[in-house]
Amino acid sequence: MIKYIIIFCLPLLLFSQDKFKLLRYDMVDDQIVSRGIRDEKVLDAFREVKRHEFVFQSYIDFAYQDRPLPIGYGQTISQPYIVAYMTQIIEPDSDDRILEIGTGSGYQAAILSKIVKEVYSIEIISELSASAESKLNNADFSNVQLKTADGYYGWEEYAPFDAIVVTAAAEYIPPPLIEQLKDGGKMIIPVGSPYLIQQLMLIEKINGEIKTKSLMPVRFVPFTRKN
Amino acid sequence: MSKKIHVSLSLVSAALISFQIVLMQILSITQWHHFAFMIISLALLGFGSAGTFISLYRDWLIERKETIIPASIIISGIFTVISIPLSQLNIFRFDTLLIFTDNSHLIKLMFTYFLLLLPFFTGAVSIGLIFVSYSGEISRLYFSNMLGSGLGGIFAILLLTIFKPQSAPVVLSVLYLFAGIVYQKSSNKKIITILEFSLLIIIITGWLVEFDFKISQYKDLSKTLNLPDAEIIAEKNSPYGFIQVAESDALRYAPGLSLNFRGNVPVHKAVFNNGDWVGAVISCDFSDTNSVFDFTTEALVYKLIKPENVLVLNAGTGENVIHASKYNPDNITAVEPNRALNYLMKYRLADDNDSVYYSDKIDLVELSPRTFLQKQLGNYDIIKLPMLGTFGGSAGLQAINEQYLLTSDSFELMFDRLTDRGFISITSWLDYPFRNPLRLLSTIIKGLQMKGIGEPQSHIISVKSWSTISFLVKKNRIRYTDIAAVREFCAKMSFDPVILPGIRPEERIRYNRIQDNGLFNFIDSLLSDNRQELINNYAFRINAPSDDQPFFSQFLKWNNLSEIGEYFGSNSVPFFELGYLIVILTFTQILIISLLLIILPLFRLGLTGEKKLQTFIYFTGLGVGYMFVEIVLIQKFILYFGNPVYAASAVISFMLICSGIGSYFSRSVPVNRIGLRIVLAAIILLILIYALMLDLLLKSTIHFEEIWKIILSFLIIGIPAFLMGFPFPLGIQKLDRSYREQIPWAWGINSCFSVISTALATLLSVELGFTAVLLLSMLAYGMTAGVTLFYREIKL
Repeated sequence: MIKYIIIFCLPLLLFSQDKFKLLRYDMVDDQIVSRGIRDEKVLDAFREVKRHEFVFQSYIDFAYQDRPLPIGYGQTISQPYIVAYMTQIIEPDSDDRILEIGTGSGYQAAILSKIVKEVYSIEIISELSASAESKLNNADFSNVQLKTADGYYGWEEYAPFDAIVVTAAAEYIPPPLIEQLKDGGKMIIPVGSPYLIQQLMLIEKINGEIKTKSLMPVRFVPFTRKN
Repeated sequence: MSKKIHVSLSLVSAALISFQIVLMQILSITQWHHFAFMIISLALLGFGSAGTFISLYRDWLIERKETIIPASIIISGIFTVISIPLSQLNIFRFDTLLIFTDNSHLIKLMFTYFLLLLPFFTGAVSIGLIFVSYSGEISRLYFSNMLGSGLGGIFAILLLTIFKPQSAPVVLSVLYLFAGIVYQKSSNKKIITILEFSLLIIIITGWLVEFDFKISQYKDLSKTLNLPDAEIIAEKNSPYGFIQVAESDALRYAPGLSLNFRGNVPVHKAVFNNGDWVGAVISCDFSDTNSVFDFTTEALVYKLIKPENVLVLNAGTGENVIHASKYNPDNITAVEPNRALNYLMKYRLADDNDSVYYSDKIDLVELSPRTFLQKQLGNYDIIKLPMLGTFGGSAGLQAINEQYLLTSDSFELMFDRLTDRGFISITSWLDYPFRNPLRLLSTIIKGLQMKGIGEPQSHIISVKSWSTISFLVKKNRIRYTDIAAVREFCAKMSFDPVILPGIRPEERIRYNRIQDNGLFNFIDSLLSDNRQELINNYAFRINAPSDDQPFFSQFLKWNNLSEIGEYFGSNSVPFFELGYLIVILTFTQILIISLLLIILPLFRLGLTGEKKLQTFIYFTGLGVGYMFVEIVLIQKFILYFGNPVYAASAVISFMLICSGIGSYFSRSVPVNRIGLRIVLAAIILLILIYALMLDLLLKSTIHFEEIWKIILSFLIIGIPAFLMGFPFPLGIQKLDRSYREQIPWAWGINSCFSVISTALATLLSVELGFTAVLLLSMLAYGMTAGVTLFYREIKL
């Protein structure tokens, strides 16, 4: 009986996996490449990482849609394009060591793990951290280290970092994070509500001096009415 | 007719109004305050649907009225206790921010809507059935109804002061129990007794088992409570909201902190009102770790002037008061209208803020800032306003909040309250698309123009960090020493000047670049003579709000909605103006449901004949006219008394009571066209006078002693409200003589249009201003008067 069930279910399972793969490839083309993300390393990572494994079961059909999804505790898994933009903007390299503040679903860490050498990710909400750990706890993401802690202090043990990705919007940038950023390094931080991220803040440390640049991943528009 | 019926009617009316206010508070805590409109609508819709229900089953209901009236009173009491806990169950509980992204939450919202409608519907059935059954006594019944409603508003304020919001419905249900017992003369006593006993059990259970409501996961308090070891350490309920103080080892506050700050950002306790962030509780210990506020753009003003006296408006948890005290002025005046918050800061949290409010140098005034500015004539070196907008400029949850502190009239007043060397200081979060900073600048410029200052750029300084932008307005022209101090401050903090005489373009992006340099072009345009062109063409509303349209945070221009959607994606659009869109959604659904409720009884009454059109116009005009006047008067008196919650409650209650008295005296008016016309003409004339002169009268008496202001307010509110109590019972009496079966339908029409008008008045106030709404109320009463004028064989 079990044999027949397996014979019957296996094609369905394979079909669903294939379906997600196709959706993932479409997501990369329709949402990411079309909006100007050209870094092949980034695009390959998005084709590889199964986003649907990082969302609630009830939202699995929406996993590849062009929008953020709730993951509980007032947090979201960001819109795919925002994750891609934040990844591209820090210009990740295969030798890089990256710090992520706010593991959330674990999706951003998973994407980064496909591109860089080491990813260190901190999540303050223990339930989210445990959930992300279970998703990232396999051979595919062996270069990701997770910690449940207050991201304010960074991860001094592994500092300095080539880049820091802050995934949750913050009203201030913790001074320890600036300290733990390598000279020449980049920090990216979103500004705004999870459903309305229109700005990202890029912070660069150049010869010890800190400069910021607000970036708008959305299409540039002059906010005057067309006459 | 027994006096018991009047007592019972008053008790039910009081309980319904109180429940409405309690429910507004609870939804403000679990979700956001704009659901207040939904609650007002629910309540009135309960009345509308009860009217329809009675119209459809009039004879059957009247036949059994002695059982149905007390039964519906008791059932309403039962729903009052259980509807809120039920709405908190996972299957019903919705989240505002998920409504626009997850359809299941829209369905949950509908379920919640239905659940919360039940107490209003059942309560209204009892009231409506009393009206219909004893329509010959409508004047006195309407008086009891209005008196109960008016007292209910006051009772709700007491209730929210004494009890936690979740306990308030349980207390209220006791009123239903009394009302049921007082009324009881049922032929079917057994059923009523069982119901009463059930209600008693539910009341006892509800009192003993206090349920905890779950607040939206996206509210500030929820996010704070997710932090490690976070806990609520103090709570205080009041009509201003449910204040909670939270503590966590990871709770830090340093808005827009300079990236040059190398100290430790200290951990604070924080205060939340209805789950929304109010402020951090900071100490007066100005050690290194507490100098974070000197590393924000808000500190600029203290680099330009050593103040002798500082005025802090909307002081909140006292962050700006404590920051100002670091510069040792002779006097700081803190203005904060929230009494419960002030109580917490003065007593419960005194150890945490080093008893700042006990200092001889600091005066705490419990008044709204606008009223304080209008009443007091002192002058200040610094007038400090609270930070504007939200981090990232998101959500638009304030869209329909009146903000009298952020109008051009307010800036004109503040300018008058400055010493010759004084500054107004206000900071906004930088948002995108740019809205808050542009509208703020536009408002400041308009305020300066009203003072006859033609070159605003000579009086305004602005600097920005990576996330905030501060504006300073100087009474006198900016001097070279000011300019040098601004440049020095910016260089030290890695901030950039944005508005400064002689500024070079590269200075604006030296440390903090922005991808869309349009911000600078827009700011320059606003400072130039071409500002009106920009204001007209900009995709969002950035014109200066006035006291007549004090909706600073309402940025949406209808004709640009599709364009904004095109640029930002349709999923994002709702979050730009969430508050406003919820009012529009509420209005749309109410309009549809109300029209259905009005049409439905016509299948029983017949579509035409028997002067139904006149009945419809007459009671529509009354519903619209009354609510329009009420909403405008609430706004006017909020500004007059400076205490939004108490002023609004007082206006509503006093209007209801006066209308009730009017209804009582309507018996002495002859039920004919002449009598009606005189009353309606008097109402229209009064509204016209108010539209033309009320602002002037209130502004010129705002500084009067409180007792004179109260007497004057009684007259201003009481006279029209008294007259406005006449037409409804007169109309019902007319129907009682000729078309008795139309009475519940007419009552339903009046209720439905009261619902529609509540949301409509808000939308119209935003678009056209309060004066226009007042004039439209005149039109509505004119419509009612028209029915009595243009029909020869008038029955009404």
